[in-house]
Amino acid sequence: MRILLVEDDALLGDALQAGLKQAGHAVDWVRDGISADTALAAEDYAAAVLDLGLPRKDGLDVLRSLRAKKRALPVLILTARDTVEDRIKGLDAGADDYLVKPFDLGELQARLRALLRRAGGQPAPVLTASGITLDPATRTVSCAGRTVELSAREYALLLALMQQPGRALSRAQLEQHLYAWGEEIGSNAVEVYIHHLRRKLGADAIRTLRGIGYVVAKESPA
Amino acid sequence: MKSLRLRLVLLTTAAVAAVWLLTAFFTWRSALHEIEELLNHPPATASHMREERAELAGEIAEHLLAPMLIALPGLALVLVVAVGFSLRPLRRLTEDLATRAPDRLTPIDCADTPREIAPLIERLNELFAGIDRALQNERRFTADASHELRTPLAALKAQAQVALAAGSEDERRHALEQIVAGSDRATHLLTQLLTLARLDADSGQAMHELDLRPLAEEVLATAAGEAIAGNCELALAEGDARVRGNSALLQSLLRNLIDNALRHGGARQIEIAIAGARKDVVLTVSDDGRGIPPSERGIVTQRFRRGASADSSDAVAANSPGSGLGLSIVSRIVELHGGRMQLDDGAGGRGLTVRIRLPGVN
Repeated sequence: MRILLVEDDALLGDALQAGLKQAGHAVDWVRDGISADTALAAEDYAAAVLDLGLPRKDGLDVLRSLRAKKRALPVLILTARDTVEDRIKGLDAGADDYLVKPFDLGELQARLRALLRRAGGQPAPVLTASGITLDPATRTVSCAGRTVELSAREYALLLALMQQPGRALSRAQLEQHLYAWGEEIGSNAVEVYIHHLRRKLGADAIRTLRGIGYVVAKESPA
Repeated sequence: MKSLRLRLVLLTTAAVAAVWLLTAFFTWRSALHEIEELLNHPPATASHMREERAELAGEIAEHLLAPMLIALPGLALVLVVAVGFSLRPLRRLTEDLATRAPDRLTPIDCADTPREIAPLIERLNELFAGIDRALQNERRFTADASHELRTPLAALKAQAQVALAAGSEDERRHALEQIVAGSDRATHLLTQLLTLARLDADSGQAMHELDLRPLAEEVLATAAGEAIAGNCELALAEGDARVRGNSALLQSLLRNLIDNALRHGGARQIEIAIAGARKDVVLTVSDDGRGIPPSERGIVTQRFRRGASADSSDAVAANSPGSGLGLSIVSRIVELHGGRMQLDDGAGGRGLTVRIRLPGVN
């Protein structure tokens, strides 16, 4: 999933970017509040990880202006302020979750998964559709009872499709999910990954809707 | 009665007057009685006459003395009560102070107190307010300091976890290098915190007369390596002056100013100048870096305030974020030397000029 990371500290930002990439996300990293506003206006993110103490515009203000635009994007706040009042203020400003520094990277990843799950209206932690089972916590995919090995990009693509089963995603939308800024996008990269996925999961796992995009069928009520 | 003095004087006068009037009354009555006796039974002979006179004088004296002797303990008692009553505001104040918790620094209510105590209470209230301010500063500083330490710690932990889960040798190596850099940064922050804590605790630093130029030369020599690495030119203009100061502190001051210009200002040229007048010595550090906008000059000396311009868009600044304490340290050292600090534009309107005025010695 495409995640916006807003963190002014170079070392922490670097670590978070790497950690979120390890979890299979495409990460755009900005370092101040104004850039965060710009990025949020320009791109369609699945979620944002937002530090509060930011130069140029405070994290809470970024959050407030985001919510003022009625954007429902899940936002997880990172902060050094740990009093109950601070947490209340953050949540009331529109945050969906709150982590106090220093935190566990595993916990951050798990909380993000939970946010993405809820945002996708997907109560079950394990996604199933079209005979495929995908567990975001362990990043394992199985098809017809056997585990399937996927590359990071293949996994990210399948995850995007499986989070909204029955809904077609265009090539451009899928590219958005896969690539952060500055990453080279091959001209037919999405087709190549779809091809790989079909080889591993079966030709019918992902359908092509000509001129529209790709879709994973909803679990048929067997 | 608002005045303690007036209250004491009035009460004492009233008590003494009461005893006095009582005595006068008894003396008058006994004298009347004796004189009447004398008129009714005039002495027959001259020797009788002398006897009667001595007896009369004795009795008058006795009547004068007796009420006095009887009234004296009463007078003392009245005075004890009167003085106690007058000093009641003092006792109330003592009780208030005695039952105060050490951290209760709200002002004492000084309505209704005698005029003599009011200034004392006002001084106490001023003192309380001062201590309260200092305590609040201290608390804010501790809170800020612990928050500031959280971010480098979070970075260290996250980098370590990235290294543990790294899929490639390159990724692991990068994360480990970041951990080393992060530890250096946390160390720098701690060093600056300790410096500031020592400066705060000890206002009685040893001061000596010293020449500024050799001191500046020493600092510039140690900063030269970093300046060359950062492609920046360091220069010390002609001039020298003598000040009364602490050489370690003044070195730390210069070091912090040069660090600021190098690391966060992105300066290509830094010039230090010492101008000596008899009373006023001006130490100037100017650079051609990004500078600090006038609107922020007032707050950058506050602790943990970084200028917004010292942000992220610059790769150098981003990779060596400051502790946010450098200018606070400088400002505190200037304060300890009884000097003043002023921030202006650098030469030609670019960068920053820090002008420090120190009291000179002849």
